[in-house]
Amino acid sequence: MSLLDHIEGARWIVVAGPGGVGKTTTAACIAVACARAGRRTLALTVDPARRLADALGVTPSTSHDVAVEGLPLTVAMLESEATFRALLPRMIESAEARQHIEANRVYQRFLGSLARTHAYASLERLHDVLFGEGAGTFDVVVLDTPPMRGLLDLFDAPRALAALAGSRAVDVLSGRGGISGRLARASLGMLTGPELAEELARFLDAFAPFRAGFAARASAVASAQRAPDVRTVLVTNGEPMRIADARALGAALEARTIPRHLLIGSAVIGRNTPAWPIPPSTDASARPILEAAHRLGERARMRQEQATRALRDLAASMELPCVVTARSETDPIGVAMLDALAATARAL
Amino acid sequence: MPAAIHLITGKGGTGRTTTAIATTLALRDAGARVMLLSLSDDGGLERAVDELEPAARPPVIVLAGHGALEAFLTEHLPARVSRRAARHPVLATLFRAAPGTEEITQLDALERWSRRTDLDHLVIDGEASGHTLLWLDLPRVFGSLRAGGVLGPRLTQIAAMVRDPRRFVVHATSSPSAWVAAETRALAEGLTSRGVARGAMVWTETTDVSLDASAVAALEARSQHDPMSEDLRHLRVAVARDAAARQWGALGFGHAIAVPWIDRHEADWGAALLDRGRRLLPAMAARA
Repeated sequence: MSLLDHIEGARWIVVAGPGGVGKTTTAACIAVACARAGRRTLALTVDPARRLADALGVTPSTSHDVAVEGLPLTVAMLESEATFRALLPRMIESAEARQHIEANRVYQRFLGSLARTHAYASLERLHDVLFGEGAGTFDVVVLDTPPMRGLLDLFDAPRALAALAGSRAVDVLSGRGGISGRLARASLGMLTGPELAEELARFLDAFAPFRAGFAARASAVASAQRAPDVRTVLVTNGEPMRIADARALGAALEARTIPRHLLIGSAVIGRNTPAWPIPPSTDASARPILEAAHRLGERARMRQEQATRALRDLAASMELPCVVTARSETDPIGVAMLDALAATARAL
Repeated sequence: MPAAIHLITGKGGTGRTTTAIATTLALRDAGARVMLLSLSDDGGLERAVDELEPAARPPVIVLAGHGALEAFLTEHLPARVSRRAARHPVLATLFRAAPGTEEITQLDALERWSRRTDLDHLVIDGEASGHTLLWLDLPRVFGSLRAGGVLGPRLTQIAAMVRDPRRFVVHATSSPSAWVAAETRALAEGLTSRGVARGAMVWTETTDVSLDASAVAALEARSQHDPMSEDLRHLRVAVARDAAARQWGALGFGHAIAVPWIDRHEADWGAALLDRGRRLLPAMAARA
């Protein structure tokens, strides 16, 4: 089966895995493969180093989507601050309410920071594309995720948001509720001081009318995560620590009843040029070079074998089909990897 | 003397966890009292430590999640209040939902532990570079919100700690490929602008192949004219990576050290890690 066979019929492909294994690159390749197959594709990338956008030949922008030339492929950076700013008008229609929120210092300080806001930004964008104004624009969305916990934050965020939205206690904290929760307010004031507690309360209050909407959208996305047209693809390389990470991630997804569909593993064959078939020279002065080369070559082949075996074992233990592919540092996203993904797919 | 915090960070996949374990083993072997910590609850550090022989495994502290919040509340609120607060759904919900809260409790714990007199070092298997820089920003971010109460003075103390080279130093792992080095350079600049001391720059994935200068020249000359076998290709790449590591050097860190890949399937991985740690310690003593 080819890669596309594995993700046939998918409306939404989530690419997950440990850090440093080529997840973003793989997500890009999947997006390109879908676009080449004629599907209108949206790639949501978290790539902080802009590498993906560079490789696709697009000028990265955090404020608007960028179309890739020659393919039905659009790339959007999921950088939470800009994503939120762009989405805010759709989430909150009243200009006055928006100004109120944008002026809040808690909102300003935390907008761009750290994993959880990133998860919220992803959810809002996903909702927009799956159910909202963007629905019908794309046939498939490929979602790149931050390593490990980033994906779990994404799946957990709807519940966390719903808890926040549904919580009477949060009403109390924001000053809207009744008598109970005095302990919470007192504790918070003791911890943060009155000014920050006040600012936090104002922030919660400003968002209060919209909490139900956030929670509803997050829940809709959460339900969609388990739909049959979602594919979760795990990416890892063959190194023992990354294999263990991927196994743990798979278990964490299983515990959340999120199905996994495919494992893509890169067994590093060589870092750089394509293989040339000419045998080495027998010139005597070349001996130290050839000996060193032989040793390194042996080590590389052994690592590749171990990696391939580890990937196949991992896939077998998780009962997943497996695509084993090569990576190349000088050609991070290009013909070589795409062809490898397409041509070397092996189902168990 | 306060305990020294060594935060190991770097691009994903460049050997942070391995370096943190190696450093801990070497410090303990030298007789120091060391705590090994993870800032993440994804289990990676614990899984790696479990690969060592049981007798060699250092204890691992996971400073993350709800446990970090409970420790923070217990430390800073009166006992009766903290017990109820830790169970109160509001704080638990806010903690889970709000960015920055977990990270502040981590920094608070580190600041307190670094003042312990029964510890010499805290070695942290940190997160990737971008996350680390945001983490280090938090005292300033919370401070700009005019935090008072318990948090206000703590933020001041935490900010002082991360800027004190005797108490807090960041070591980076990197790989000698151009785009990884670029991210590492950005990390060095980010740490410099935040006034944080930089220690060792650890170039992983270099080789232990030594060729003298004439052999390297011969290899280069050969590759200009002859197509190469796969083995020669590997060698050429390895030599190029070694050269790149030498060229990029410390990249704004105190001292650069290049180390070859440690094969996890090696007969005695624990011994290899201890040896690696011993080589790293002198590099980690340098400061920028």
